Amino acid sequence: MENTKLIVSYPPYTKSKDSIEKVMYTVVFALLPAVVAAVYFFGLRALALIFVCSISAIGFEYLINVFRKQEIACFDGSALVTGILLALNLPSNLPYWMAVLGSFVAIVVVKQLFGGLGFNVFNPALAARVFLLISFPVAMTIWPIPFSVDMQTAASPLGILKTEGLKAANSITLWQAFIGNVGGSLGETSALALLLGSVILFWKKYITWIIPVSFVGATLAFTGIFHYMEPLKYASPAFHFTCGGLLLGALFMATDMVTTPVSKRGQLIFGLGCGLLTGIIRLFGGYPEGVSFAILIMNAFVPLLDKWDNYSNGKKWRLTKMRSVIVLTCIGFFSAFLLYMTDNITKEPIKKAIERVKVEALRQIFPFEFSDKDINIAFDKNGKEFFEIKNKDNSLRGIAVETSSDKGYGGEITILVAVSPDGKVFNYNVLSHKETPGLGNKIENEAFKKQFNGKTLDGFNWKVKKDDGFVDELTAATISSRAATDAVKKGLEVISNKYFVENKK
Amino acid sequence: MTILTPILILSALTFILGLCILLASKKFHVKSDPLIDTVILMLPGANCGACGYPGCAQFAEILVKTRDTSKICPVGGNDLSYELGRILGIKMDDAKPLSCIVLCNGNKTTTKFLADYKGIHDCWAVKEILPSVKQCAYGCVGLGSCVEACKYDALKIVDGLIKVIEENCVGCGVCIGKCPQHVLKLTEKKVKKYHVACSSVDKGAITRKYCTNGCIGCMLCVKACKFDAVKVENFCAIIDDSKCVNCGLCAKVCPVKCIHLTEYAMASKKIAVKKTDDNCGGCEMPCSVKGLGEDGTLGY
Amino acid sequence: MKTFKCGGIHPDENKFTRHLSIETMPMPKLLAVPLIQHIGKPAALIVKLGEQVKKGQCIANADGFISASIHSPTSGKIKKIENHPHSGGKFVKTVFIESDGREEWAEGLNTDEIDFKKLSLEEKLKRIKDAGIVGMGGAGFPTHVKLSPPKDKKIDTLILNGAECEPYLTADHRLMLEKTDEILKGLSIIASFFPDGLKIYIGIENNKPDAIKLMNEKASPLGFEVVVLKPLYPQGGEKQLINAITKRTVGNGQLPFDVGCMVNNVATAYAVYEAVCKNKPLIERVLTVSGMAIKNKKNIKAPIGTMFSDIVDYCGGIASRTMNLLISGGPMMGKAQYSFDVPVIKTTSGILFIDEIKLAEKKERPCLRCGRCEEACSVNLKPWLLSNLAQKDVERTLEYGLNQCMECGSCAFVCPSKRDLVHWIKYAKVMNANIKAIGATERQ
Repeated sequence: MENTKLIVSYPPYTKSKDSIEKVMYTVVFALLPAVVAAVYFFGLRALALIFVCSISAIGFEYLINVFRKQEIACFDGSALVTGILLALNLPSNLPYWMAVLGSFVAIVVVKQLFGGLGFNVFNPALAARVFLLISFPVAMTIWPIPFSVDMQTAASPLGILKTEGLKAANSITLWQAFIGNVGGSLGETSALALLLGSVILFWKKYITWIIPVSFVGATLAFTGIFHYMEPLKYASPAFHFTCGGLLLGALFMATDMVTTPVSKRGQLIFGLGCGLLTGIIRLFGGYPEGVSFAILIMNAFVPLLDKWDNYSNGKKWRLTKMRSVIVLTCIGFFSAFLLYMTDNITKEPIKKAIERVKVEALRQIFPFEFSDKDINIAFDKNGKEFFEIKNKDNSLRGIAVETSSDKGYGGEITILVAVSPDGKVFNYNVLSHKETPGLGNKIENEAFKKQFNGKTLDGFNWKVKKDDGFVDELTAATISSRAATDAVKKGLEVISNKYFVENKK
Repeated sequence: MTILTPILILSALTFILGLCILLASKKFHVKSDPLIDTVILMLPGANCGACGYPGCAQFAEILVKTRDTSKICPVGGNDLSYELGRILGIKMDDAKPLSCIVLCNGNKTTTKFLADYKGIHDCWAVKEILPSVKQCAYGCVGLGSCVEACKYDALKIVDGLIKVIEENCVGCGVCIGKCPQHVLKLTEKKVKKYHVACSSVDKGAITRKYCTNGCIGCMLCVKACKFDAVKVENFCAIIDDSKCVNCGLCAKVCPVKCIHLTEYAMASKKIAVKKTDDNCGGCEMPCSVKGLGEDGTLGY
Repeated sequence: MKTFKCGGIHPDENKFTRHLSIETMPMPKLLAVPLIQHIGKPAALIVKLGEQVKKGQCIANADGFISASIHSPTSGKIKKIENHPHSGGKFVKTVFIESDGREEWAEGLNTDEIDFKKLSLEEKLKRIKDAGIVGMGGAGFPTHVKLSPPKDKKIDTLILNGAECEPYLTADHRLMLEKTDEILKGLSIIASFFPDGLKIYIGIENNKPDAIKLMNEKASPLGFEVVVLKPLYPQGGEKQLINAITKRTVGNGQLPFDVGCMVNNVATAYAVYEAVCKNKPLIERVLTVSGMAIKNKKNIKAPIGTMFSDIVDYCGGIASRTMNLLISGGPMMGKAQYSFDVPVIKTTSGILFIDEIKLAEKKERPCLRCGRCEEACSVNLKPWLLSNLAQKDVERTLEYGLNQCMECGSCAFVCPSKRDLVHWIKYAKVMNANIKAIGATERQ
């Protein structure tokens, strides 16, 4: 008793049994259902990827601890959580070296360079995911299909929604998306697994309910409003709930304590902001998935949100501090207004310019002269635009219409074809094409175009000579010739549908 | 041609904003004397506050405005004062070079510790719950609150005791207020300087129990001093700088070796030595030795 | 069950001694009585070295308005007067009294019980002041000052604090069970100072059902209401107790009398009874000796000035060779001691002997900004912000309510990074006081 020195420190001398390790490893435990689901749907490669991310994250943190001569803290669980969350954001067929690079960015750049645990502004796993997405867009957006043996890939549901529209995306059943049987990153597919895992975090009060509820709520409300207004164009809120990384983000990324506000009010604003941004990016942005960007943008606001809530001496935060913000907002508003005015003023002239191009093209395909005021624009029941050239006595002198054919060698060929009132082709003009220069682009040559002069829809076989038609195809450019023929025929059909069939009726 | 409109608008906007910036720079322009700027460049720039002003910029302003010859930058010392005087056309007063000394010599091997302290690593924080980490309640606590304050890297904790790195210390005095035990003191630099490295006011027997380097108030130094420069107050010896000639006799006789010698690198001024005939033996030569010479090259 | 509005934690109760009745400790040979055992100026010594004193004799007078007098706990000789370690952490002038074994009371003290109603208010107040009674819950505010609030502050609620929210401590609990009548008499004496329209409550946490039952039986006929409180720490804090029972809030810079309330500890009420009815000064107190490293846990009545080492011997000695933490008070707000040679003072509510290996490895990790400390704080502060600012920019902590912190320790209890939050806040308070002092001297 005399020799051992008594310990003297400041009270309290009893502490709760919680520690950083306990919190972090509980989060790891909460992620296990998602990990199991990932392995179930995507196979052992998923497990390998998760391992690689985790081990490299812990490894990089160990190296940093050694380099900075700190005590070794890489086993406290925070690096492991970052590693697993990063892996859950990646497609299962991502090359291992890219995953290691992602771990490097997450741990070394985003976490340690900003000051280490507790000091980083941005969520490390999300920032690394965005880094990988921007650096390797192809590798990061090819999603393996669940249960596929040879790594067949397809776009994720949100990807399909963005590029091909709602009709294509509606082929995915929501229940399948909920349990995870869709393409996507390892963690985002199974909403069910994520919800199951998060129960323990809510029960132990490690995460607040405010952020997930406000985040998901704002996204659903935003998409819901647009879905209600145009159900054929915008996907339902249920689709947005089950597809994509919304739940992974709302439950595990946006609730990370270090990068989110401390105060309840700040958390509410944070969640709402994330939800709104996610909705905007998903519906109107260029990327199909908006959760990562939304959370990262809101992370940047967190110091400000905390500052707003820390009021001095019980009094509310004074308006004088707002002065600079108000001034900036005014400048921004003023600039935006100026931009709008500029856009408005220039809209008409731009439109007129486009029109002028079309009018020039029109002049080239009709064999007669006419003035601008002789041009009349009509529409058919599908909303297609027709250029009518009228005589002085308002009778039709000629009709032109823009048609296209996607059977071209390089893609779509758009032409403007002119037809006489009795259904005979005058001429046509190629507006755009992707044909081979020197070969396919000869469809613009007068010699080729002359063939169509005077031909009607009936009575001619609108095919190339190879296919027993009347069109003399270009040498070594049969496909382009076919496409041009097809386009001209389509134009004739459309015009005759409107003008001749109706008249007959 | 329609591109003209946005071009015109943007140009007008930038022109107007540019005008605004120009107006602002004229209206809010802060007039400053170019001499002040020159002086600021000459100062050390550490903003240590030793001159009594918050920063080098403020010191420069006051100096140029008032041309007060007593305004000294202790860090730059006499060399800087001379240069400043040249620029301003005045003769600056001599600055005494100062240095920091530690009135404690109790480290982990010589001093017993009171308890196993596990609180915040700061000397002030300790004082809230313990008299000190060591059993001596008057000496250096050893947790380094002063180290952070020093902008010249002149303080270092070695073995639980603060040490001054003499080459780096410029005598700015910022560390003095940072010590809760007041064991740091500013003293005038001399080629040889003696000071008593102890602050313990406990009786000798008690002091001895917890620190083998502590002054026990035996008064042997008082008896040895021929210049009446040492006295013992509250069982702790103190050397009076105004009377001390730094002969070192007190240090020789101290039984616990708590009187320390610090040697400072100084430009030695050759001065004439007053012969005292006392033959104190501090320089190990009797005063009347011919070897002294006219300029009395003893380097004091 | 009532409780206070915000924050609060529930540490393990560890009330191992709740069933042990109070034992009276025999008088030790040497007593060390410090001259400061209360808030305010230290008492002024009136005895000399070598003087003979009687039991209960006043050895130091209250110096100034906020101060309390100190009495000798035994009859004997003044052996020495010197600076000695104090359980508050500093060296304090202490009077050492060697007991002669006779226990002779001074003249007029320790009389038979008299009816307090026969005494006037001034006489009662004089007896309380002369007895040197201070708040025995831990704060140590002189009671006679507390009982004379400013004239414009009307007191309409009197609360007896029987909460005892700190883990391990059971002294107040046992006192309520064994000295119920005396405590109620003391409460009545205090109540007599505020005769008009006073409502009297007795607050007891619901982990003491026997005390609640007994108090209900005995206090209800007297018109006192027993309020059952939720066992939430710090239920026994003044502001929290007032909020729980009366729903009133004591704001920043305010004191209980500003909202018309007064809170007194159970042990203080007992001391008031002894002083007024029996003319006994405050020379002994009940405290809990507990913890896993002491052989016999007890609730003891010990004389003021008993050395902790004597108590260790009385309780059988240290049970564990690796005992490394000696706490005076409770584990949440008590102070760790560096020596067994500190005396019991008027505010020592318990002595704990802890064998805490984990404390030795404790290391602060960075703040996770999890916000649990903010949730736990019962005064609505932000400990994470205060401790961060204490390290970087000390003066700004004043803007965020630093001086309202009562250092209850709830924040540091819940912190998963094991940050020394209370120490940083205390450090900030000290540094701010220094800055203020330097500012004052510079102005001179």
